[in-house]
Amino acid sequence: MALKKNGVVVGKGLSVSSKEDAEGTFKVITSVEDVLNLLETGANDKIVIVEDCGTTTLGPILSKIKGVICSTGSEGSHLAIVSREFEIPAIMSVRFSSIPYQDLDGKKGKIVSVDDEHGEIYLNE
Amino acid sequence: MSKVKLLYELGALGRDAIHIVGGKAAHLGALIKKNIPIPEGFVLSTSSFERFLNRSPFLHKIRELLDKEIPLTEITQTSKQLQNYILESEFPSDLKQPIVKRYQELKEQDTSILVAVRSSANVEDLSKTSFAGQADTFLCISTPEELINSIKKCWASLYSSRALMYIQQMIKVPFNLVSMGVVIQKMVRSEVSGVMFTANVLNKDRNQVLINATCGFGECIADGKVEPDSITVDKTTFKIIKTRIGTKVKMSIKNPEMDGTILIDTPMKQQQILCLTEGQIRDLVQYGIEIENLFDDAPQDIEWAIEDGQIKILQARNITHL
Repeated sequence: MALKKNGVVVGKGLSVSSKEDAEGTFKVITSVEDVLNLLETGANDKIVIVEDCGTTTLGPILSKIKGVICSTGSEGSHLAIVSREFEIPAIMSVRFSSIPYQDLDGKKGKIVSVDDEHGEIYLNE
Repeated sequence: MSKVKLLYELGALGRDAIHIVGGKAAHLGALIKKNIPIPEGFVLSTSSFERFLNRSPFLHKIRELLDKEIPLTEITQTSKQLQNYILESEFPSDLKQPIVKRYQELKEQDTSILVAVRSSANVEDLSKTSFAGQADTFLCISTPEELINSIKKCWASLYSSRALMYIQQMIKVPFNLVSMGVVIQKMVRSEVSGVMFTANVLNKDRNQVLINATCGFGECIADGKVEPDSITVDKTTFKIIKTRIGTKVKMSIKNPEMDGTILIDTPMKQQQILCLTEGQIRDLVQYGIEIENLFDDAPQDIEWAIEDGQIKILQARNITHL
């Protein structure tokens, strides 16, 4: 499914999992508590942003979320391997250009794979 | 059938022994039988873990917690309880003794050796589910006390929130059937290490090999702590199709002050160049093809390390999703 690319590119990185585009609400995750909160409030439409690519905190919600964004990592990271098992798009080693990623929390946007290797993060207008 | 032992040499058992020594050790055993270079070591069987549990004063509480499905919202709490029960149980002396004895033998060859403790669950490295990064690895261990301590922590990691979730959601096996072997191996003091996929997981091309490489220990690739170099190679001609030099800002080395590892800044010069030579890339791909052939041509996810220019293979598992 190719989503219409209305919006602005706020980050670019390596697309290491499913090449399906995803649209949802960005949610920054920094702790297990964040994950549990998401379990209660609903993780279904979330594109999760993490700084640490360890799968530690994401395990419980990987089957529910729309996609994963990580500021480090590569196709060989455990989070990439497990994202491929859950068939959700994952963009890693993302460089955020115009906006600190913390500011994306709660906003709507997209993950779009531009080719086999690269992906872009869009913030909806 | 012969009795299952508590401890086996790596290489004594092969692929058909996942239920005895877990996925990682069974696969390493198969590689050793084919003369693939694997660091020397041994493995505690799942029977060792069962003996440890059976002697635990918390056995019934552990069994009770593992007897049913765990609601998502209770996973963290249950995980904490289970891990505390494991960590607070005493290590049986008749189990500790053969482990320490075998460890001392490794140490006799070279007093400066360090060992790694790696999980080898009986649900690990299956064809559809990798269990990747669900249980913990402990690197650069230098004393018998720390070894025993790390084995206990490795067992406890089978009940981390993420592992419990993964088992329940992905593998769908009752918890009471899940057990863990533990691999104890000589540490490779790697100058370069990484991951190699014998099929390109990015574009699903089975005629391409994809290598991730970085300076120091490779754990920081798995943990996603670095952006490694990436090299794509044609599997038939061995021609390098594409290279991407990763930032490799940090590297993992032995902690100089205690057991374990630390992250340091990678020297700027090394950050800016590819950390593998063309010859090393070729040799790696050759091993990749051999290993893939060994596992019925199923594309493999291989962890490797290079010490003094020599390649060692640390792990091989099926690529679970292509």
